[in-house]
Amino acid sequence: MESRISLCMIVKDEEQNIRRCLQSVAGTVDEIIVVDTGSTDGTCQIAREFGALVHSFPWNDNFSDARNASLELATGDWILFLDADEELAGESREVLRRLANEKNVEGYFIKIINYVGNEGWVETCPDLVFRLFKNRKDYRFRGAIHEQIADVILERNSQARYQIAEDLVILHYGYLDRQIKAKDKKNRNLALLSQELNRNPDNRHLRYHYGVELYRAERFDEAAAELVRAANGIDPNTIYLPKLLRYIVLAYHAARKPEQALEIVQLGLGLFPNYADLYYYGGLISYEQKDYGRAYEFFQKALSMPEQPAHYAPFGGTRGFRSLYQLGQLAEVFLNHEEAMRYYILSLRDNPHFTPALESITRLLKPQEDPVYTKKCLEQLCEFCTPQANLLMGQILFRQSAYKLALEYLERGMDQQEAAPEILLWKAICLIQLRRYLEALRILEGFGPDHRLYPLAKLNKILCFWFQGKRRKVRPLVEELFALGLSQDTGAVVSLLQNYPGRRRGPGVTLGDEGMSLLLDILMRALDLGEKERAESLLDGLSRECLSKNARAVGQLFYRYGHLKTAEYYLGLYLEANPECPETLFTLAEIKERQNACIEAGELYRRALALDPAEPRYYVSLIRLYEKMRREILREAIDKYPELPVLRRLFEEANQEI
Amino acid sequence: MIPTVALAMIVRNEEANLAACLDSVKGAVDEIVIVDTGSTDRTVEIARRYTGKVYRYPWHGDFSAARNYALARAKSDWILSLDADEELDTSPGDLHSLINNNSGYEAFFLPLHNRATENPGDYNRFFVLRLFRNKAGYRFQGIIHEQVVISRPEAVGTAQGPVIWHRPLSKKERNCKRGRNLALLRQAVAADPANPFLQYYLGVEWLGLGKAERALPYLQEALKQLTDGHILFRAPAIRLVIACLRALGSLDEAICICMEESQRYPFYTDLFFDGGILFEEKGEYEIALKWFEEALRLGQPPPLFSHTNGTESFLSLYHLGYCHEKLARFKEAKNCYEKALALNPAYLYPLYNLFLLYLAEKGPQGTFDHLKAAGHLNHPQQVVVLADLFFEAGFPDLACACFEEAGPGAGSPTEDHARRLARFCVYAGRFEHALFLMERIRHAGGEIDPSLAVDEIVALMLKEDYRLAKIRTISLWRRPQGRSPAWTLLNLISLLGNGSRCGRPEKNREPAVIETALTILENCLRYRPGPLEPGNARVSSGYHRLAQETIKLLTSLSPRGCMALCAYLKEKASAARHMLDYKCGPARGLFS
Repeated sequence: MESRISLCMIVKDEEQNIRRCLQSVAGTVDEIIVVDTGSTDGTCQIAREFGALVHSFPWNDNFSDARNASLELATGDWILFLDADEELAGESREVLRRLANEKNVEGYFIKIINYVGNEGWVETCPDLVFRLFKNRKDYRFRGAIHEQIADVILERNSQARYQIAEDLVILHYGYLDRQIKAKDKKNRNLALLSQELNRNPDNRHLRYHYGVELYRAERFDEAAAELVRAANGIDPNTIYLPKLLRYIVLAYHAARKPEQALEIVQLGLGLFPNYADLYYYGGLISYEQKDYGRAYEFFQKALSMPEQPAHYAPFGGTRGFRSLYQLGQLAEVFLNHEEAMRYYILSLRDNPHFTPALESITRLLKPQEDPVYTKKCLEQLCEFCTPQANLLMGQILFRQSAYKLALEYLERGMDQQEAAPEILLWKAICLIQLRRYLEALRILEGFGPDHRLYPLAKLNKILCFWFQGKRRKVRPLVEELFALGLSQDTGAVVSLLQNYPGRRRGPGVTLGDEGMSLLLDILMRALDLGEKERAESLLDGLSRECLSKNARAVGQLFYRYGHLKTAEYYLGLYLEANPECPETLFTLAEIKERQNACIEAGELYRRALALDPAEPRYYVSLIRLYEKMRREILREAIDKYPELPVLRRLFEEANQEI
Repeated sequence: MIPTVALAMIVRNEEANLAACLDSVKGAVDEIVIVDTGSTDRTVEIARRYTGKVYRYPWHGDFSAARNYALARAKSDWILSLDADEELDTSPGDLHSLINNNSGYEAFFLPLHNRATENPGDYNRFFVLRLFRNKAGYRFQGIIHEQVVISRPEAVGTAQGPVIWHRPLSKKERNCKRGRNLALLRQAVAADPANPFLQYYLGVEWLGLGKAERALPYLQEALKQLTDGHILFRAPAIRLVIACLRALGSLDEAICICMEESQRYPFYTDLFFDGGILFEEKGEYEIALKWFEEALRLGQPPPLFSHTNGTESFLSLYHLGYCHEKLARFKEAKNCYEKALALNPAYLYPLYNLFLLYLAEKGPQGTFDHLKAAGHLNHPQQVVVLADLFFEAGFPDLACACFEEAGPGAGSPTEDHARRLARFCVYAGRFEHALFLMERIRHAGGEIDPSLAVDEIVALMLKEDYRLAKIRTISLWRRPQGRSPAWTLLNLISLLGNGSRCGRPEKNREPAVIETALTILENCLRYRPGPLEPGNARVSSGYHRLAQETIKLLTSLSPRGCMALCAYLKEKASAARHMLDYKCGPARGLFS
């Protein structure tokens, strides 16, 4: 005879979710028991539509009591427990029937896939849970929250055997940020857990959950302390120990205690030498500590790990795209762009939806300098067959200030679907940067005064004329923009647009971070258009101290657009106030190197290095400088003494070392 | 009644050492007997100042015979036997009370500290039978490495003091003695082929000459025959066998011996140290750590076991630090190095490692501040080492600061310090001060050697005082070894002045000319402007120009000049790569 399966649930106000859950089991389970703890929405209604037996049970701050109430009503041979924010994965239904016919098993650990993060950026995080077990009178839940039944069954029946059923899969949506916020789950859980811990201070498992909830509530120091307490003296075979270790690492890391975090990584790897996530986090922390050698070892180790057992609840991609991406970042730290590119491509191949890898690839291709080549490479790498793909690519290129190419992808994406207003605005900006002002203005006109992007559109309209030097058109638009009510900072930037180039009124303005970031953006766009003088006219309006404070960013911008002398001036200005800034010295060194002043460049690299001996870029640039000098001396020597073959040989040798 | 003690010794040509030896026992012995075996210097004259009992005995290749001749002339109750290159660390009455308080003994082992270098912590400890009753039956035996034989071992006591200190020998002296010893030993072995002591000494002499393959069979044979009753010899024999095997690259075999013997003598510190060294050499740092830790835990080995001072403390700590460093446990490494330096501040190796570790971690200024705070500028040798290290690493300003901020423990500045400081100042942007310091050295009658003279002229060029630079260069030209550097300098002065330069130097001078130019270039590139110095742009540009002109000189000189410059740049690149490797070794795949 076929075994009968009872689905048991406890619910409260789940009308958003319960339909999805019940649909997933309809026709698979033989009865549905729903214990409602006080819904005020349509939850019960929906449950009844699916033929559920709905039972009301007043909430008493105890999950076990509610769950046991549902068990009392179940008549099947097996109990399947689901929460309303879960569903059974499609292919699991037949598996469920097969499992229920096993004679010698009392219960199963089932794979659950947790969806975490924002819905725009979803991560999956698998785990194992005990949700399918024989229905017997003495098998009842224990614990007010994170209620347990697996150990109760073992206490009642020492002969009981459990199995892991990885092919039965529950999908859980409850960790998605939106849902967590909606239900304020964190606080509810924390309050309940701490009450129960007061009653049972020795319950390790409970303390573990308490620590995890503290971590979710971003109370990292307390989380680390509770989790460490849960781990002290634990039996190494405890099924949740790997997860516990990972949470300790995460908590220490978030609490800015990287050394302790790394200690736990080492300790954990001693117990679970194949645990990819620990290597991955070890790598991340070492990277942040600027211990790049160790970071490299950790990520390489993570990549070499075998398939992870489900009870590690592995984080997706630590054995693949995530570690590959980090290795790419590491390679960039060593200025090794070829190797970085290779890792990013591998990362993207492992997970084509992993945008950070695509963004890094695009950045390394220098789309602004070489759009044709960039396009060729991107087309080889990806298929841009959906509008989303084209729009994403356009957005990435836009962020890289590669306006021509960005426009191409944005237009392709927009052909295929109705464009969001942000995308229209980006398109207008691209057009401005290509000096197609009329087309840009046409789009910008489309934003009415009620539109939330109206001020931005207006500002870009001003810029359209400002770039063209049409001061008469700028003035009335500026006044209109002011009429909208601008923040002081933004207002100050906008007034700067009215200044005459080369003329200065009064002591100049001092901008805050918001204003400065806007100013730098306009500066960058001016330089992109080749309007260097116009760019500098903006800076003329700044106060001395404001300019000095931001001179590094300004200098780097001029450097990026090839204005070496101007860049040198601003970086020197910054250095006067901040003589110990290695990054400024480094950029200055790069400028000197491009001006062929090798001795000065070398001195600047060495100064940067003395201030920050942990920065590999400084070493690599210095090495490359010496090698370049060596090749140049040999090249000149060959011209001078063409009869000496030894010089040629040395030159070839020097070239091979690159 | 208080027993009397006689010092009995044999000497030959020991005018340099004898007085120190005899001074050290003044008041500690009641009688001095000196037998001269044929000195041709003032030895006998010196001896007569201390005692009337000076005798001559013709040398015929037998140490025992000569020593017994001395014994026969001593009247006291006890004999103390010393060599002229030894000193006794004692106060009057020490020997008498040792004998009085330990009645019933016929003889005593005394500790002998054999110095390897002048460094006070650098010595090996042995126990030697040098104090015994003056009895007709107790006579030296053996033509070489003669020993007094006491038939009842239980009648020999072991004293922790007074200590005999053995002066370090120069390499020449040592090798001279070795040749003589080997000849005598061969003779002795011919007469007594099975004697393990002679085998042992043959091994010692061969190993001392650097011939481990010849030493090994003798030492192995000695080790086989020697029993625990001869621990005075057996203990060093074990370590020497290990040393031979290590020198021959048979690490595994050496480790086997270490394991076996450390089971037999689980308290013998030095064996654990040796084991640590072997594993360290194999790259098994984790295991090496355990052996060194055990050596530390054990402390000094019991008396009679020959012992290298420091294996129980600073030596093991230094190697512990090294192993930790290799395992990338930098915190522990630094800790061990610091402890080693605290225990023996004259043992300087840990300071080199510490310097590099700190430099990679904290940068130059942080390193300096830390080392200063930790007291390393308060020790005469450490100050010099650190100043040199900072200069070599490209931080002449901090090299100067090492001297200028040295603590009182570093002692008063010597002329050597002054010369170093003057050189460092030239390249630290303080050439005016450097010139002043050099004048002061001159004034005090000190010498400006040709290499410092080059630095002085560089300082004048930086000061743009080309006239005086030229005068100094011409006087350098007149000094021996001064001509080639002077050629380089004259050309640089002329390049800086009017952009021209003379033809080619004589062919045989070219290498020295190039070397001087490279040294100047290298030193100029060490300069780094201090962040807040006023007018530092002008100072900087002086160094830049000089470096630039030196490069021009080298490239225009000859193909050899170009090649030397390229080799130098290659060296610079690889030094930077080395630093990066030191810092990020495991990520090597990303940068080399």
